Amino acid sequence: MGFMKIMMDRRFPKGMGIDFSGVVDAVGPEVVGFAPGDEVLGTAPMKRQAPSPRRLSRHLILLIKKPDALSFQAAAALPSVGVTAWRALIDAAKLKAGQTVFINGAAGGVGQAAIYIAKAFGAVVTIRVSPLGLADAVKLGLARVLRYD
Amino acid sequence: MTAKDEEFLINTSGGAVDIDPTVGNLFRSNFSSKHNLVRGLPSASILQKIVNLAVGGQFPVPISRMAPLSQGIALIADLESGKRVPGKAVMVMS
Repeated sequence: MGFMKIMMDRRFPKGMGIDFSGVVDAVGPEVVGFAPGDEVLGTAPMKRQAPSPRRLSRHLILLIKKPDALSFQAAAALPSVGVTAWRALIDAAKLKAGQTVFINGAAGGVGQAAIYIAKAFGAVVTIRVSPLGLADAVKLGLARVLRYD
Repeated sequence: MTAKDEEFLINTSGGAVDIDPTVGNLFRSNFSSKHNLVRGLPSASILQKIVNLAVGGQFPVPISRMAPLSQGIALIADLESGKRVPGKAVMVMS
């Protein structure tokens, strides 16, 4: 589990991944805001990660409704990277329009999410990526792209 | 990014955020007045904003690999062996 073992339970067996999308099958009496048939996306607790079973029945920590315009596949790829990048840029760094942000390691999921969020907030973005990630980075039309090497 | 690089950014540009929960970062957050530990807890309101950006075309979802459940073991084995992908890998339950 590498350095993430600080945040994860060390016990095995353990599944991979925490984000998911799907359709609500049933709701309990204390559930509000969701009904069977609702299309949703969300994330499971990192220490209990394993959203791979066909049915998730509990231990959900985050669940919202999925808009029709978003595919199930796209919805399942959003939660952890999007919220992590938002927390870092907007909540921790207090990013404002016109500021310059440098994103190190921008080819990964969180890195790409950080690019889109920073651009949406009107920031000037510079990124650093590996040579393999350079082509995709250039396509994004960023102000400045640096290579690791 | 090295701790030295981060220190440079903090001193010259106003700040740096490191999302890796390394022992070194936790140590610095405890013993340095320049470093703070921030818990990035999940948030439905933030996720809703991300979804709104995605629907509005401002957040192209970074999916680099998609595999059906039948190929899930191969997908996980690749990730565990260090074959990192640029973006997210998605397993489709069908």
